[in-house]
Amino acid sequence: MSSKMIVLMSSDGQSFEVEEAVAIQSQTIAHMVEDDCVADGIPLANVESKILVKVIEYCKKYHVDEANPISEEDLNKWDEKFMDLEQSTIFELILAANYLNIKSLFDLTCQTVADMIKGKTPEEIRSTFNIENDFTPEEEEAVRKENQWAFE
Amino acid sequence: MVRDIVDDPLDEDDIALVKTYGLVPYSAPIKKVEKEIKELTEKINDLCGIKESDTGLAPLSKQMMQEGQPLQVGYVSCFRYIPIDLLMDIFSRVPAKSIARFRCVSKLWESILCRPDFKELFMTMSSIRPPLLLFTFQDDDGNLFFFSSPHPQIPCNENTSLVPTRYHVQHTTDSFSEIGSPLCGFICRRGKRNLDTMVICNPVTGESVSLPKVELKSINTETRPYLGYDPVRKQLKVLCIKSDDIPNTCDEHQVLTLENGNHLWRTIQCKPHYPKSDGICIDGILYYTAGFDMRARVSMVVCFDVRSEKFSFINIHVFMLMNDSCTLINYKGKLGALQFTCLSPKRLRFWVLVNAEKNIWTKCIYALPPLWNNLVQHTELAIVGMTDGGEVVLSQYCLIYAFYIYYFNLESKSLTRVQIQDVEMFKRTRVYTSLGYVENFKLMTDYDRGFNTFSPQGRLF
Repeated sequence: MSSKMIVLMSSDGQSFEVEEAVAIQSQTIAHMVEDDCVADGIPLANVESKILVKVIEYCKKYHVDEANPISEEDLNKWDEKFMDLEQSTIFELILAANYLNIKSLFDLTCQTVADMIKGKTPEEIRSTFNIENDFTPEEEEAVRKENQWAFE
Repeated sequence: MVRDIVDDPLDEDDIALVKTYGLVPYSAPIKKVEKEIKELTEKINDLCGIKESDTGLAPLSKQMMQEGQPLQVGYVSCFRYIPIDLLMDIFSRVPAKSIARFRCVSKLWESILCRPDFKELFMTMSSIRPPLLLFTFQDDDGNLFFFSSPHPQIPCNENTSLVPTRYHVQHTTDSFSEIGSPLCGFICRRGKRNLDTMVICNPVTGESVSLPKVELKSINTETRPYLGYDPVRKQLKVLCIKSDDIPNTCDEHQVLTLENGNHLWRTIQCKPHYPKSDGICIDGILYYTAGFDMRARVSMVVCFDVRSEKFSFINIHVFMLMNDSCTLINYKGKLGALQFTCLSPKRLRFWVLVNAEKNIWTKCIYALPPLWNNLVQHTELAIVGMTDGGEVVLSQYCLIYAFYIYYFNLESKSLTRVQIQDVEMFKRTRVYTSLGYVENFKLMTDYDRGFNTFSPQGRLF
C-alpha cells in the first residue's frame, strides 16, 4: 500500500520525508496540502531539524488507525517518556507546535511546563528558569502582601 | 632660580608637568585613539539599536522589546523566547495559588498575570477543568474562611485525605451569614440579621462587593438571594426572592446584573412563593424548590430563565414526598434531586426530571451502603451534590473533631470517607460544602457594562 509522502525542510536545511496522513496533523501543513503548494517540499523556516525530528516522532505515534491501534492509557505513558527532555527543547517544541498548529502537541507541551512550575515558590521559579528579580525590596514586599494568601 | 614650592601653590602648568611623570612616550595618542574607538562603537550600537545591557540576548527577545515588553537585564531564560500569548496559555493551566505566587517572580510576570485577557483565559480554562469542592467556615467574629480542593480520585484507599487550598479571609460585620452555592467563582451571602444586605465575594481575589439594599415591604419580609448565569449573553445575575410571613402577598421580587459600574436592582413579577433549597443553575436556568410558605411542603420547583428573566414552575406532587432538605443536582445535564428518607431505615431517594414539559420524573430509592454504620454512625450529613462520575457527595454540617466528606457510589454501593486536613481550628463551627467551585481572578471592575461580560477570549485553537 503506497501512501502519499511529502517532504518537510527544517530551517537548517535538512529534509524529512513523511507520510501526508501523518503530516496533516499539523493544521498549517494541512492547509498547504489543500492549497496544493507542497510539490517542492514544505520549508519550515521556524523549526530546527532537532525539533522537527521530535515533532515527526510525535505525529507518527499519534497517527492512530487500524494499522496502528493504541490505547489512550498507553499514549499517556508514551507522552510522559516523550516529554522527558531538556528545558530548552520543551520550549522549542511549544513554539513549533504553535507554528505548525498541532493542538494536541501544543496542549501536551504547555501542560508539561505548567506541571513543572505549579506549586513552586517565586525563588524556585527564578532559579529554575534563570529569571531576574527586578522588583525593588519595597515593590516585592507590596506584591507579596497583596497575594499573601498564596504564601501561607 | 628655584621656586619656593612650599609657599606658592601649584599652578596649572605645574600640575600638567606633574601629570606627565610616569607616562610612556605614546600614552597620549593611545588614549586619544581609545576614546575615539569607544565613541564610534557607541555610534554603531545606536544605529543597530543594541544597547549595552543587550549582551547575551537572543533575537526573539529583541522582538519582544520592540513590542513594548519591559527589558530584562542579564540572564537568558527559556521563558523569554516565548511570546506573551503562549506564556498566558501555560499560566492558565496552573492553579490560582500558583498564579498568585508567580506575580512575585518579576515585573514582567506580574504584568502578564494581571492582564484582563489573562484573567479571561484563566477563567475559561478553570471552567473546562473538573470543578472543585468549596468549604466555607465562619468564626465567631464573623470572618469567613474559604478552602477549595479537587475531588480525590475515586476509588481511593481508606486513609485518603485532602489538603485544601486556603484563600483570602473575608471579614464580615454580620455573623452567621446565609451562604449560597458558588457560581463562576463568586459567592453570594446574605446577612442573617440584615436581610436587605447582599454581598458578592470572590475567595481568590478577596474582593467583596456590597449590593444596594433590597427593598423590604415590612419587617417580616424574608429575602433569599440566588446566583444565575446566562451562557448566551454571558451575564451573571443575582435574583432576590422576597416572601412575607402572610402567605400569598409578596409577588414582587428583584433581579440585578453583576457588572462594573452602578449595580441597580430591577423589579420583576412572580407569584408569591417561599424558597426552600439552594439554587442550581443548568444551561441558563436557575432551579430551586419552593412551597407556598415557610411551613408548607415543597410543592414546586421554580425555574428562572436567567436570560429572559421569566419564571416557570414544575409542579411537585405530594406523593413525591420532596421535603425542605432536598438537594437539587445537575445529573448529566438534567435536573435531579437527592434526599434522605424521613422514616427508618434511612435510605436515599434519587429523582431525575427526564421530561420537563410533561413533568415526568424517574424515582429510585437506594439503601445505604454497609459501611455507613462504621464510617458515618449517627452524624447528620448534608447532601452536597453529585460528581460527574456519579458519586453522591455528603458532608458534615458541623466540624466536631475532624472534618470528613463522603463519596457514595449508587451503582457499586461503595462508601469512601475522605478527611479534609488543616481545618481543625474550626471546631464546632458550621461548615458549608459546595461542588462546582471555579477559580476566578476577575475583579468586578474587569466586567464591563453591556454584552460579553463573562465571555472568554478566543483560545489559540
